[in-house]
Amino acid sequence: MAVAITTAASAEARARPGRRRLRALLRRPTFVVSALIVLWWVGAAATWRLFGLNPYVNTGHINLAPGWHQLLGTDSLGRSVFARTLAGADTALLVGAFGCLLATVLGSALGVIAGYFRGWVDTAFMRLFDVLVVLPPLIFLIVVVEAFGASVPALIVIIGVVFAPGIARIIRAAVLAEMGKKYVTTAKVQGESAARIMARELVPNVLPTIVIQATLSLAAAILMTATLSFLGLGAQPPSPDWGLVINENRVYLESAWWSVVFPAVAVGSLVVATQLVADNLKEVWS
Amino acid sequence: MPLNISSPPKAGRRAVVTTVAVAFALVLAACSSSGSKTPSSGSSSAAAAGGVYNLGLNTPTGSIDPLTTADFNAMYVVGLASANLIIESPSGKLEPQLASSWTQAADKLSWTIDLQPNAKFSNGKPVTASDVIYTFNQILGASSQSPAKSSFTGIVKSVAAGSDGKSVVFTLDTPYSDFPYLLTGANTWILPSGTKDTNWISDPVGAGQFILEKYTPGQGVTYKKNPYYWDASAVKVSGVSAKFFNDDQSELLAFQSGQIDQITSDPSIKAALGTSYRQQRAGYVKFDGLVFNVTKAPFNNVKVRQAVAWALNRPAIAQTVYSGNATVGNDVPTFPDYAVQPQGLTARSANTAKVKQLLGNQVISFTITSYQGTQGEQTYAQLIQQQLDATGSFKVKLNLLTEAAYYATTSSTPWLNAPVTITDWANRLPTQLYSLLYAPGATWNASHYDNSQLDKLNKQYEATTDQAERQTLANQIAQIQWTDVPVIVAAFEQSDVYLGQAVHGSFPNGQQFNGGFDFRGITVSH
Repeated sequence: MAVAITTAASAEARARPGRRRLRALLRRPTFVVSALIVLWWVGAAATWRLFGLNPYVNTGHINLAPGWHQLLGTDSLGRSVFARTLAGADTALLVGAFGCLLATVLGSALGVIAGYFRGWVDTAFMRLFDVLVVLPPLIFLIVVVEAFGASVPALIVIIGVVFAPGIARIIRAAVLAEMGKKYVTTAKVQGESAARIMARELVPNVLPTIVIQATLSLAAAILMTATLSFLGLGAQPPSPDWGLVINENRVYLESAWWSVVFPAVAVGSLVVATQLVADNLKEVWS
Repeated sequence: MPLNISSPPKAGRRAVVTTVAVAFALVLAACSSSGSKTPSSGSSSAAAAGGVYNLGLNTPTGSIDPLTTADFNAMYVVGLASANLIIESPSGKLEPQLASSWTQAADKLSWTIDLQPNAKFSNGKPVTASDVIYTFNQILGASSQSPAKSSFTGIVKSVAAGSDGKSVVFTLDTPYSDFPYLLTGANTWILPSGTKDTNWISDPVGAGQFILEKYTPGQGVTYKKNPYYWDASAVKVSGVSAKFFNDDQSELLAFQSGQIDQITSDPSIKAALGTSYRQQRAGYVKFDGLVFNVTKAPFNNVKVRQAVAWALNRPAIAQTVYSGNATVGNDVPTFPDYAVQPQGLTARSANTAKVKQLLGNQVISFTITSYQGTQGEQTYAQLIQQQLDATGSFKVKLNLLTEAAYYATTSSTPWLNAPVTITDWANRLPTQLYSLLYAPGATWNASHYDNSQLDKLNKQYEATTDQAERQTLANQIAQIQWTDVPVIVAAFEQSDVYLGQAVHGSFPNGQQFNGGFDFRGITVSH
């Protein structure tokens, strides 16, 4: 009973600072604007089909400049740049978000295990992560994509595996800091299993770090996805993927700048906004 | 594999290299603008007379071997220093090069090719009958890997010196009235007797308009004028300096900055340059064939093939894919510059009612396989997908591979086995294209089409010289190709280049291998 009361009280205590932090975040203009931008792109990815937009159909006008008829103009195949830019959020967020989710789950689990057990488990994981972290991520990704293909599931797995070691190292460090605290010792003395201590005690306490790392990784994953497509290793034509669209149309930069600039602004805005959200979370939480 | 006769593809896996280099190229090109009027290295010794022509090429893929290369840019490197016996003008007319004249024997089973009396190689040695015989023995030999070999297989029985020692006699297996056109093809440059094809680049002796001075892999090649060229007085430029580019954008910037004197037109280049530069349009260079594997469903049904053919908006394809530098095709692989044009066919145009009539309410789903890049296939594939999907009778997906994967040298290579493919085919004689694309059992017959009647008509056509008979046979051949549609030929692309302000004169025979990469009459004022 005493333990239950203590747990309930600590949860209530955690909730109050949570609300304070949320209010602090909402007072920050950079967070609000960035969050709105991220929400805009998430909304675009989820709903563009509902508005009858078609990013593949020829509107009948090739390389038409932005105007009332076509808000963001058309590309060299007469496709609406507006429709393609909105639809491009789909692949960016699909691969980026799910890849990042996989990386977070995998990296957090390995980081918590390494930090909790320490000893040879920690040493083995860390040396493996050292090897993976020092590999240039883009070159590593190119090699892996060449080997396993560029389907959406493959890209999600690849992004997840590439980003997991970085997250694992940071979560491990956070867990090590928690390991000396009384609640961990208490849980051990009470005979809780290692799995329970990790899941019920450590993870909630390092959750802010996990969330911040996840958000930071999301920005990097979106950028990496666009980069792979730009290099011809990700999405394939006629996909409206931003990286692919920028690559396909960059030769039109002089004559039809809109077919390059708007997708570039899209990918830039999403990456920067996600990064700013992560920065604000980090500052408020720490 | 068909010849790559326009700029080679840059996207796909190869783009990994090219696009990483773009940033550097952009900066370099921009920085070079101020000094762009200076001829590049290797040309200073030749800065006289008509000046040095600065050329932009895409980096050649593979080695620079005159008899075996299938890459257009490698052909250009070889072609500037080499010469064919005969060349073909943009209008399809045969013109002398190392041969001064050519005549068919009365029995139609041999052709005598008279050599130019003053034809010499770049080392000063005369071009003799033994050099021509040596070259063709290399092309036709049992171990030959030359793409040109297929053009002569089943046609040429032997090559021998003429009785006067100044001519060469090609003895044929069967009458072939268009035989001289075969001598204009790629990989038929005349080499000095004893030249090893694979060693040519280390000792690049040829009978062309220029002498290759320095070849730097991945960077470029420099030439000086060949004083021994048989028509040297007509060549005004004192040299050529070619730079290799891996990216369209960097090549465009190099052209705009005056670093290179010409750039091949495509929709993106045309959109950027508009009418601010002089354009020179030359002969037909290729068509992109939409090839159906007629042994696989649903394309074993001729109505489905016909429906696809009737769904295409060909003028839009000519405009969008080839920026208007193309003539609309009608599913018959006879280039518009060929002397005998098929007659009596209905010109196909986009007709949704006809598509519905052929397919009823069926919706046909299929995947088009081709390769990535800026050569046109990628744009063409996307445009076809748009047009077919718009009819409501088709649901099309694309599978755009890297060029290497598409042309993989395995028995299951996609370009010969996928249900529907897009492959570019260089300008060849209709009979050559028949033997490569339509003939039963032909290695490159990606459609797996087999029609004995067409085979018979084609052999009759090859043999006859009677114009009326040729016209009749051409019409019959075309009717079968048009009706059965194993291959859709939507447009024939023409060569089109933008010339810089410093360039004067016009290229008399375009800039293709069959025109001899002919610089006669061109001057530059750098």
